[in-house]
Amino acid sequence: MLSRESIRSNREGHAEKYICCIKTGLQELLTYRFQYFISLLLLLIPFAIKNCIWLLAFRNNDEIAGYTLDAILRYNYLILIFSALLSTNVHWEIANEIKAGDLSKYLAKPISHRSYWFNKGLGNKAGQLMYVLFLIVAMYVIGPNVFKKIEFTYAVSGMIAFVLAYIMNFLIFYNFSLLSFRFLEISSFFTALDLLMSFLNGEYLPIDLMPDAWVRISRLLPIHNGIYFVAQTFMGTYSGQEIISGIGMQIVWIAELVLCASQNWKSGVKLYESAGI
Amino acid sequence: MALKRYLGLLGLFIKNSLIQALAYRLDFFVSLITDACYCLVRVLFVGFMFQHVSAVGNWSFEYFMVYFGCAFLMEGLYMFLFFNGHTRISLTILSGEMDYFLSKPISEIFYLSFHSSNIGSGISNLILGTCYFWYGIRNIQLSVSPKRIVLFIILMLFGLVLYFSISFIINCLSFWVLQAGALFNLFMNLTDLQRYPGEIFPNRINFIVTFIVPFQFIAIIPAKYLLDEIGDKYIIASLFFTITAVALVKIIYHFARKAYSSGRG
Repeated sequence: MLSRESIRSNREGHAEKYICCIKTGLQELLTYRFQYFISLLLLLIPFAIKNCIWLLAFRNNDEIAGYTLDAILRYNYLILIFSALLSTNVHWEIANEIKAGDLSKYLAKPISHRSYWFNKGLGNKAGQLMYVLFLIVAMYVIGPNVFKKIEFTYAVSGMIAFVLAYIMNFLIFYNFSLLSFRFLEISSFFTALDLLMSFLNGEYLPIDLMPDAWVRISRLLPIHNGIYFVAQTFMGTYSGQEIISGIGMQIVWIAELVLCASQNWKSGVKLYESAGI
Repeated sequence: MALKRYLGLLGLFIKNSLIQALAYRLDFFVSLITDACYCLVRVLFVGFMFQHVSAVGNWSFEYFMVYFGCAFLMEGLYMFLFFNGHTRISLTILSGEMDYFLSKPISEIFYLSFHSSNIGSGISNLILGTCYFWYGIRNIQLSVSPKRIVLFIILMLFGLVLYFSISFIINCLSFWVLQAGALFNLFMNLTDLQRYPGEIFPNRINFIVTFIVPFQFIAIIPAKYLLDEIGDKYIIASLFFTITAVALVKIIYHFARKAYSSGRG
């Protein structure tokens, strides 16, 4: 029988190895500082173009589909921040590992593949927070009252929605990454996936401005409770009850995606072959 | 004679790239769909916006389609002809393969730029670009004189040479900077600026993308000329920018070549 002491030290060791994963993620980010800085700069170009088009569209209209210019700019600012924090490369990295046969290291070591990538991603995000803080300060100085109009209760529920959206987003891409067990060359699919996901989840324009048919379909998918839900919660668009049911839906999606991921991992590993010396 | 030889070589390069692309057919067709999605998403954003407004600035949706059409046609030609060549310059230098390019009895700039073609992206951009352009022109119901059509085609050719030049100059930085990939990504994102009319941007930005780094002359100025939004003086300006860009390509490559030292013994 294990003593209390040994259980505690086991738990500490468990936590320590995942803290190491977080550190690895952060170190990786800081190693490629220049590329990272440029990639963040790249986020600003589509953001600027998008805002310029909206500004032009509002020149002849005071309100478009229930949005004022102020509201749409606020939405775009929030999307810029959250897309920087929610975006993930996990599917690309896992696919490369599976293709190169590097997956064996997880199979031989006492570490969960999913937890490793989740924690490594957290490390990456810790670095990105610096950038986001810079954006928030910049917006506070030049932005159109973005944060002054956010109420405390909406900010708190928005933060909860954001954390859950982060987990949900990771699990969605993690599940897609496991397709690499079945397909040797999947990079083109991932490129299309990244692009379509960013469009359909409301990064280009709010989902409720898209055609009705898509709005109805999106309600049945996890993307409706992703970045769009987080931004709208911060903006105070939803009532208290809608926020609670949205957060509830996020938890349900997370549970379903975890089950899917476990199943996909089990069946995928059976297909995995690695040859080496 | 030389032109015929280079056109023959270009044909061979494209044929080789097609054979390579079709060796992995599934991947080739998936990349066709991926690039089609990329073109579609750009247009859907504006298309969905036009479901709620009748005009953005002074333009209707059809005008935007003509602009997008020209921009994606240009993108298609860029992908088809020299995207692969330019993006591989950095790798060519790093791997020491550059010596091979220097030893051939043809223009180095031509060989580096055109030796590989991105067939999949090129085809999807060209097809969708043509569709957008045709949709826009048909719905605007514009009567265009034959002279204007000829000058539009000439402006598009100038635009292609400009696109080639800007892309080549950026990639030439690899001769001095080992990892110029990030800069090239920045350039690829900046090409978004050649898809929208400059008037949507603040005046200073519009001035920069029109007259300093002339992205607007790649596709938007030709489209505006066809739509009778600008006058003949832009043809002269386009010619000026094209000649300047070609001269810069020659000068920068001359210095880049001097900076290159072979990695092989």
